[in-house]
Amino acid sequence: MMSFLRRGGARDAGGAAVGLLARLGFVRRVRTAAGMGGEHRGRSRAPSLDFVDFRQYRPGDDPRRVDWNAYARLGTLQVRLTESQERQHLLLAVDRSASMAWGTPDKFQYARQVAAALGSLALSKAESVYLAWLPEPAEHGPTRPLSGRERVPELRRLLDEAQAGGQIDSFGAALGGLLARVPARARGSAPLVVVLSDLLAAPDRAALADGLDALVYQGADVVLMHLLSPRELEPEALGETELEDAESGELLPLDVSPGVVAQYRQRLAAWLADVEGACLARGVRYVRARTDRPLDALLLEDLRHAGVLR
Amino acid sequence: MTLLAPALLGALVALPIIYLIHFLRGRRERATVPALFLWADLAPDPTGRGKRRLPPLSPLLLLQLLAAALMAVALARPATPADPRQHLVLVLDASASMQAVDVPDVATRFEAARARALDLLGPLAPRDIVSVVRDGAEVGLVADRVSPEWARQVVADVQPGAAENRLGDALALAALLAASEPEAPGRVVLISDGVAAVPPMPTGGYGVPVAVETVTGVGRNQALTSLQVRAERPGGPLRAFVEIANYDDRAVRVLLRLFVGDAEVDSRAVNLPPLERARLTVALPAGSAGRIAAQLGGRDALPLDDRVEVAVANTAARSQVLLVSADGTEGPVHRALGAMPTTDVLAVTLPPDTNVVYPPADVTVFDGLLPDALPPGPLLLVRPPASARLFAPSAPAQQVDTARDYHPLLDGVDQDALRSAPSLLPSGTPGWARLVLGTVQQPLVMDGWLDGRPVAVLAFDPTRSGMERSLAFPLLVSNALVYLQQQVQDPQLQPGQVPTLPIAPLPPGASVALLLPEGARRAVQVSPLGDVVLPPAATDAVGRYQVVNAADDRLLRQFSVQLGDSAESDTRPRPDFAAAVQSPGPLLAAAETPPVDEWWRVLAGAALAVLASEWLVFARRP
Repeated sequence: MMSFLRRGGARDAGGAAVGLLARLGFVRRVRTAAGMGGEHRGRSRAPSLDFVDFRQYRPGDDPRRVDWNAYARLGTLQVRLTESQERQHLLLAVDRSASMAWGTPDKFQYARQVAAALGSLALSKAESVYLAWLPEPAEHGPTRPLSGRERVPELRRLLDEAQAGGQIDSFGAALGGLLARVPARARGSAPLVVVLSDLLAAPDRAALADGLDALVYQGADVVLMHLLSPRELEPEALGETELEDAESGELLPLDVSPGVVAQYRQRLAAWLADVEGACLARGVRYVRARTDRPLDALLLEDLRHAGVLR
Repeated sequence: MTLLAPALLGALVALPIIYLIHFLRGRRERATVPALFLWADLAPDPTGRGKRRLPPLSPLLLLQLLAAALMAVALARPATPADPRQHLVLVLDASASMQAVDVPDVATRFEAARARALDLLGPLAPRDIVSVVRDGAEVGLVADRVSPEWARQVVADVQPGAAENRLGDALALAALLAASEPEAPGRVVLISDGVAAVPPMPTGGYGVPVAVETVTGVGRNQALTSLQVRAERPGGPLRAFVEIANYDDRAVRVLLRLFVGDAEVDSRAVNLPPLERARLTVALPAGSAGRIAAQLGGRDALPLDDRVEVAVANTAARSQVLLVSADGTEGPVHRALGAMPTTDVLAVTLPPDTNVVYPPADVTVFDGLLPDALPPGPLLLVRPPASARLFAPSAPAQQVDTARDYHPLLDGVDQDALRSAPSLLPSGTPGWARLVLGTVQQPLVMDGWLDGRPVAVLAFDPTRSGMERSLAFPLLVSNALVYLQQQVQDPQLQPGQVPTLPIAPLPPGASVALLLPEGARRAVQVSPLGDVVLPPAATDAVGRYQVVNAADDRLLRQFSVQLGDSAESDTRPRPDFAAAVQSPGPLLAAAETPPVDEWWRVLAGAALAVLASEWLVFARRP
């Protein structure tokens, strides 16, 4: 079976896009706490060989960190500051509700391609990657971390085997419970949480705000990637139609006239602005992605522009 | 392609109506969206120009449109030009002459007629119809307006007979058949050898074209037309009187052979002038009895008439008649019996209450009396007393209400003179007798079987009626004697004659079979009076017939059928026959509407099939 990862991953199998992607890294707005060695600078100053700065000696400082050469030149006691290199944690939360399996290409497929790319990038940077589904499958246990480049195939397999379906009852609760699935040490190290969703489970601002607040308050560095199908953004005037909700199956008879479509677009624009405003208010990076956007363009341009990658 | 009812093409308006119904009442097209909250409670289009979607071309709509279109076109009755149907009425001459074997390359004239009939059926289309009339002893409709294919099988099965045909009746029936199908103009084709009397043309003709296909050969035929065996004197030797007819226009020499039983007793050559008859007398060996046959040798056109057979019983003796009467030798019956040269009469007077032993006789005649004890053998009852036990009527009057037109008892008798005589018997007929002349109320002549003996009854007084002075009475008595004696011998019949054969009474529930000359076996009925009732045309073959008890094949009666002096023996071609029979028929007016093949049935059937499919699609839709 040709998986979507292999189709979408044609670019990262070799070539310029892969080369560029390999040089990218995640931008953290929250420093990680000291811990296991990694490639990211730690949030705390810790004894190491990586010199950062000087500062005035204060009582209680370790006398061994006093730079005596500076004292000889300046006549004041200066302490050498160094920082730690800590391992980062990336939590990929992928919406797999029924509404994601809609559009061409469908949003779920696109979300898995993006998650595979970001997860592979993180694993190549010696970070720990956690994969979570919204909603979580019933038989799914605690989220296991993936570490090291050699776990890239496993990550892809997990993404490849996933099926869209189900419904998110409470988007806020679902987001708030994400960090509970990861180990405590990961929660304490300000993990980067990338949520890939169409957000249709959060029709009002309150539901979304609850979820984002829960993540932010737990110290997570949150990136919200809002996936939208072109047909969602620019629907056709279908005329007399019976609209069916992809998740609930609810029917809505409606004359989808051009006027109605115009109203829809206005409502959609307002909703998108609302979502984006909620993110900005909480320091959450918001990335809107059309599913017809090439994946390399999304990674190399849109995510870099949004300050997620650099 | 034309439309016979083009106005009904207006039914095609059903198509846009169906489409409009789908447009107005059809189900909305369903579209799946990821979520409804962005669509909910949107105001209708303020411009009021909501785009009504055209109904999709679903299988349901397409099938409905197709069915409506087919029905509309079917109503318009599309048709294509077609050839007119034909009704061919074949009349096959099945008379004896058609068994002549003088047609080259075929067995008989009838086989040639069969081949010609098949040739006529060949060009017919399957839609044409054919009737086949067999013209033999009976006119039989063997195929009534059937397909040409069926008619071919019927023609292949028809067989000729040995009787004369009834051409007039056959043509009348054929003409009626040909005119019976208004949509299929009929024509009659008679296939015959022309050996038949030309029937008179009906007034106004047959009304349909009548054509004649003649199948004939050279017709060189000789026939044995008569064989009589008589004794020169009572008890003397037998002589066979043979008559041979030459139907050839050339003089011929034929071989005549005579047989007594299976033994040949004489053979001689006979010279026959052209178109003449030869009569000769042949002395037979003394004591000859039983079956005596004459046979022509050689090969002529018609083998059927080359053999004649008669049965001779007691030919060496005179007929012995016992006359029992109250008048002795003075009555008219005695005088009539005495006038018969080969009859010996023994007259006795007998009081009615006297028991006697009757002397043996070939026929016993009771004149004016009837004792309770009757002698064996045939009985002739003259002037029977009305009070006699035998004449108590037992059959309801309505069962026998008319006398038969012909009976051997009445051969040559002036029946009008007889009918004027008053009957001596009460109304009705006894159960053992049948009416020959008279009425149920006034039976004059009866016959029947009584306790295994044939009986004839003359139920009038020849003296009081004046019959004794006319020739009718002695002729009637003579016929009665001959008839009664023949009843115990073998009757001789011509083909087509349907005899009434009295037989000895059978046990209740017994059935009777007729063995035909060719060996076939046919069930026959026995009337309540004990007569064997042969089916029509049962004697349509030359040869010997046997009536047997079906249970044990016990011989009950036998008789022979032979051609004898029949017009069928003259098998010469009749050049003027076809011209005399055939008729061009009336000039047919051109049909107002040319014949067409209509297609509405096919279209209607297709529409029903489409509707059935539409129902299936409707029933299985989600």
